Amino acid sequence: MEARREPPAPESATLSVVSDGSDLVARCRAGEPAAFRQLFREHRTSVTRLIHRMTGGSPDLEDLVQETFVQVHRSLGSFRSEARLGTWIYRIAINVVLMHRRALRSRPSFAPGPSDAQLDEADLPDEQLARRRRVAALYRLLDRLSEKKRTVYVLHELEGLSPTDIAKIVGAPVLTVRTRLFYARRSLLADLAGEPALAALADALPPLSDPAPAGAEPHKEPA
Amino acid sequence: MTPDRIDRALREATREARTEQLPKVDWTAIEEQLPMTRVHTLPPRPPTFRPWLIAATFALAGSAGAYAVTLVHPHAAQVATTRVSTPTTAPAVPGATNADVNGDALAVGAHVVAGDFAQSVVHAGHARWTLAPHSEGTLLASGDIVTVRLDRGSVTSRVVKSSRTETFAIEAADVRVAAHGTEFTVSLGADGVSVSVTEGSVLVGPREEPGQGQLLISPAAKRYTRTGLPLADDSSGLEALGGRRAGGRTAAENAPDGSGTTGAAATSGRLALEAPASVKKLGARKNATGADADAAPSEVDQRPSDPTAAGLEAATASVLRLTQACFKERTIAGEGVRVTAQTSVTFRTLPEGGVKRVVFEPPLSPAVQACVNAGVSAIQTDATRNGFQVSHSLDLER
Repeated sequence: MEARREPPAPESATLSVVSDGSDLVARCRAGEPAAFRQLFREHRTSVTRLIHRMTGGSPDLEDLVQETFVQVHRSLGSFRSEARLGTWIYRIAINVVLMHRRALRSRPSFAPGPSDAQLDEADLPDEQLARRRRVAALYRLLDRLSEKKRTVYVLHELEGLSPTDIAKIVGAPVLTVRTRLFYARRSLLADLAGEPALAALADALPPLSDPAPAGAEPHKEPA
Repeated sequence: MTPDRIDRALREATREARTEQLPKVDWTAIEEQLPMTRVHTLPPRPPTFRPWLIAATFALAGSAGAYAVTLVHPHAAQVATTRVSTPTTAPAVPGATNADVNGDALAVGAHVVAGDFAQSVVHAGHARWTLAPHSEGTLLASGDIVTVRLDRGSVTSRVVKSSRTETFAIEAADVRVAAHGTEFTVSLGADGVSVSVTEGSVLVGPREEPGQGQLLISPAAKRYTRTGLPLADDSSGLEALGGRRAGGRTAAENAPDGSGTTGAAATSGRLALEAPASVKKLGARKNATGADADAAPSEVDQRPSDPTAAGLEAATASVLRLTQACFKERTIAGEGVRVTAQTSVTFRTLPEGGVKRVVFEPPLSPAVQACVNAGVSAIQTDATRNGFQVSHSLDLER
């Protein structure tokens, strides 16, 4: 029986540490120029991280961050205080990413050549390079998931949000979020062996414990 | 490979992704484009403006009632009626502008008339469009896609970069010019519409068919008929429309002549669809030295530097069709089994037309790749000076 893993430690979860934002929103609505700048500075890191993870390292990252905050500015009038500001901004960021992905899929794009990340790879130590490749492989797997499954997986596993928070962001019942999470994980597990970097990682992992031979005494921890 | 190892590998890769460092982001550049900052850094209003504006406001309010303008401060401009006019009796001062109008406060259908000064309308965080002196425009739509009809003269627009494909458009006669993170000028003349792009790109096409047309990438200038058909791309034609080489000046700096036509910032006359970065850089270098735009036709390659939109679409569709056919034919699966694949295809064309190579990422099976390689030789594309490269995502199914 697989032990249920607790949500990741909140090393990247920032929703809880950001103020509820109602004062800030009120100041933004009042046209205070510094207020929106403060809002941007408070939330830019978390929004950038989310977009980076949702897109798997898109070269359009900065454009998407800017677009998110432009949308936030435009929609401040419709912000209701029952949602936390961070949750609301996350929702906008996810919508911006989804619109971006749909636009990319519906029209040809032009390849600018190898990305900076690819060019930098030559200078990386082996382990760091392998790690970067594993992360890239994970993002490729995520890219194959449906939008809904990818969103909940990123929000839960990478952003460290609880299903309750995710439910508020994606506008779905908590049970639906858990279901999507389950199927997302199952799809990832099914496809993982197809990614050489991740397959190598799986092969290289040490065994948890060797199964005890039949008839042998079970191992006992010292008292 | 046991399920336990796979599960742990997924957890480990997820943990690595969670602790991955964020790429460097230029916060300052983003912040400069944000609405609050943007409003705050608008250029100061010319000191000569206020008396004329106040006089015009009172005059209009007193005589017409329904036509009133309320412009008190550029940061809090409120327009109460559907017509915004600026004074016409003041002497023209080169480069002078009126106070900005708050475009977000304008009702759809608002008619904006510039007098002897240029008139800017600002949609916070979105776009700024500036009518040249004696030009007129009408706000046709606001919100996510701001659309302005140019009724007379010339308008220069600057649009904030956005991830969406189209956020701002100018319509002139039956021509629609849609922008995406761009600075460009549209001028309406008696016999056509001229478009010049100083930054970014615009899609120029028929008004009735949004999303269709030719992509114009900066620096470029092009003339079109009033129905949206491209005219000969030469500087004499541009001048015939009322344009002149202006070294990148904006419409606001180029007052229109008596016929309502105006100068466009014709810097190179290069019409271009999106091309590889190297091609674009080459074009920019040529333009910077001034050696390209006026070269005699016999001395230069007659092939266009970039494909047409139709040629690009046709080439892409051909490669996608071929890939789908090969995937269906070469993928082995049992009866009733549905096989799907998601990948992206990148192909490069030859200058004389034809496809050079097709790459899939993630790769398809060797059998499918071989089938595609064998089939691409039959695909013919537009001949271009340097060839071009296209990437497209695709879903395959057998």
